[in-house]
Amino acid sequence: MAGEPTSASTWTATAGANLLGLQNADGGWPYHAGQASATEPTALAILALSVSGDDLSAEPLNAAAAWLGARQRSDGLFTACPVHEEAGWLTPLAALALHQRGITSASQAAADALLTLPVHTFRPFWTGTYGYDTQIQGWPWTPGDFSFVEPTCLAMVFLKKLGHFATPRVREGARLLRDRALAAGGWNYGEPRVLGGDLFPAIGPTALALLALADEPDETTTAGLNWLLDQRGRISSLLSLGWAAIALNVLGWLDSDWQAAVISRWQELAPERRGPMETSLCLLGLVSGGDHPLGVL
Amino acid sequence: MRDDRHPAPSTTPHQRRGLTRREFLKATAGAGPAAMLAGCVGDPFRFQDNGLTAATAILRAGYDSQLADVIEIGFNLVPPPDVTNKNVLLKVNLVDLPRQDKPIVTNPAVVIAAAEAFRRRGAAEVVVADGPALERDAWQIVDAIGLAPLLQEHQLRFVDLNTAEMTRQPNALGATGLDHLYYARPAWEADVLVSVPKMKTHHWAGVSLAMKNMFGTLSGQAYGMQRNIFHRRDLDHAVLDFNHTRPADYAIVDGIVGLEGDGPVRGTPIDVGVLVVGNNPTAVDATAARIMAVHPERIDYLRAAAGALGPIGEASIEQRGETIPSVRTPFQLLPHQAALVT
Repeated sequence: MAGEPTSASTWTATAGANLLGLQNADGGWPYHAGQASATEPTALAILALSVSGDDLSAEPLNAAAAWLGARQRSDGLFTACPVHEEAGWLTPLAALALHQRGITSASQAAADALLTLPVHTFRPFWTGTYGYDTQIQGWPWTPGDFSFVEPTCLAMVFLKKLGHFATPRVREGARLLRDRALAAGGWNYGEPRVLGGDLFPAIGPTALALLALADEPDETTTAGLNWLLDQRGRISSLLSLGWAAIALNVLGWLDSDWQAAVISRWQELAPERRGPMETSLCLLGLVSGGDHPLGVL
Repeated sequence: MRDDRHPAPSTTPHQRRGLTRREFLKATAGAGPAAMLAGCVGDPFRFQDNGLTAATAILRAGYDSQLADVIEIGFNLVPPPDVTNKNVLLKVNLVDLPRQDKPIVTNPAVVIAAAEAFRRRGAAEVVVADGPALERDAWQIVDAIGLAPLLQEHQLRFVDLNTAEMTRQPNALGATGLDHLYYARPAWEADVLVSVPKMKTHHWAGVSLAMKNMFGTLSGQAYGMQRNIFHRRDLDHAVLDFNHTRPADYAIVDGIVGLEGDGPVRGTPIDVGVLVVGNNPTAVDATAARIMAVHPERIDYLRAAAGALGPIGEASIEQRGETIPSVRTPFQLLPHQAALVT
């Protein structure tokens, strides 16, 4: 785009207004404009507008919180949308958004459910099948399933936000993330090695793992951070760019080049590639000052 | 993420996780196709086509400007459903961000050519879609493989099935023990659903072709990445459930350059130079497996699909276009899969 680069504050106002304009009449946000509301984009929009919005956001955020609250089941877990009945992996994100709005009864119920959520562990028939410990408990995509990196990270960020830094289940989650890190740095969905072969790191999971372990840095997080920093200029999609910016922001590594990359990419892409989820992530990536809603430092 | 699966394929497959073979047979006994399935799972050599027949076409092809014409020839040899004024969804295989130039995804040239071929037959709209299993960011993959500018050039829309609206549907088979499935709505509602996979090996299932490609039609919102709940309940059972509940109406397998060895993401390229097309995904997969020098009857889900979803026996599948021997290109499989190789 020609002309002067847009300042972060100007872009934040533009993107915030864009996001508000995509809210559905029922109070939720969809993944894609014109579609039905869903838990993930609604939770992310609440988090983004809570810290980057203005007074005009109050009423839309109350409506969004009401929509999101209706997705919570009696067991404290959340579904992915009204069509969906089962509890799912979006519970921490939804609960974190309601916590951000001060609805602590909902977030506490979710925390209680997550701390006791069943997860599958097993002892491999062949020790060489998996290059990691299959008996460490993190969090699964669906209750009772095996642990993976992204749901574990989301649960840890949320639970740490509620003060569960030393809770055994959270400590176990941190152990899982370190065990699942790739030797060369970074994380993928949760399998650093399979059948003796190394797999590859990915941006989203690496950013999430850095957020989940932000308060407990070590050589594993340093390697992950270095890998993520090396991705500068290689991230074309706002989903990955947004998560990378959030992690770098929380960890204090978001420089003006990364900020400019987020802004320029958001401006370049067609509206169908920057829906409410992507815009919310970019807004959260560029939040300045104060307590970041996804920061656990 | 597979569970504690024994790496030797000669072990009883349905005792690996979720349902035992006995539970599976009990769960599936008594109702039409399920009853047929119950008679043939478990035994690694026996299958019954139950009189079903199908045709597939094998086409020599390259990633070039003639590809749409080649697919049209395939359509003439084995016609797809009438797509006039209908919406066609090409369910491609994007699985993960390709590294080291590994051909793990459906080649963009095949995607564009397939879209063009369906447009020539009068499709009202053709959309390209997937819900990648190992990388949540579908657009990062679409950009990385050079598909994004081609979509724009050809005015095609991409739909990320991981974030698409979902629809709850009864599970038509129930081999996984789940009574309903959450599908990505665009895949479920497409007038014509076309599976456009890469021809490749898979370190658990043996091969990954048109039927397994249906994994990505399930909702990523509901099940998360990897849709691992289905892996735990048995990958083969899951493939059967998906293909009973919402089978593809047509299949176009990208076997121009395949992936052998440690698939689906760590293998190595292998030149085959073919497309395999047909209107019965089971038969298409059986034919593609034979081209790869893999016994289709030793692929658990193919053996179980035989006679219910389509034929897998060589005598039951009419081969049009090239013959299997003329294009047969043995794929390397992992050592624990040696029994699958012909």
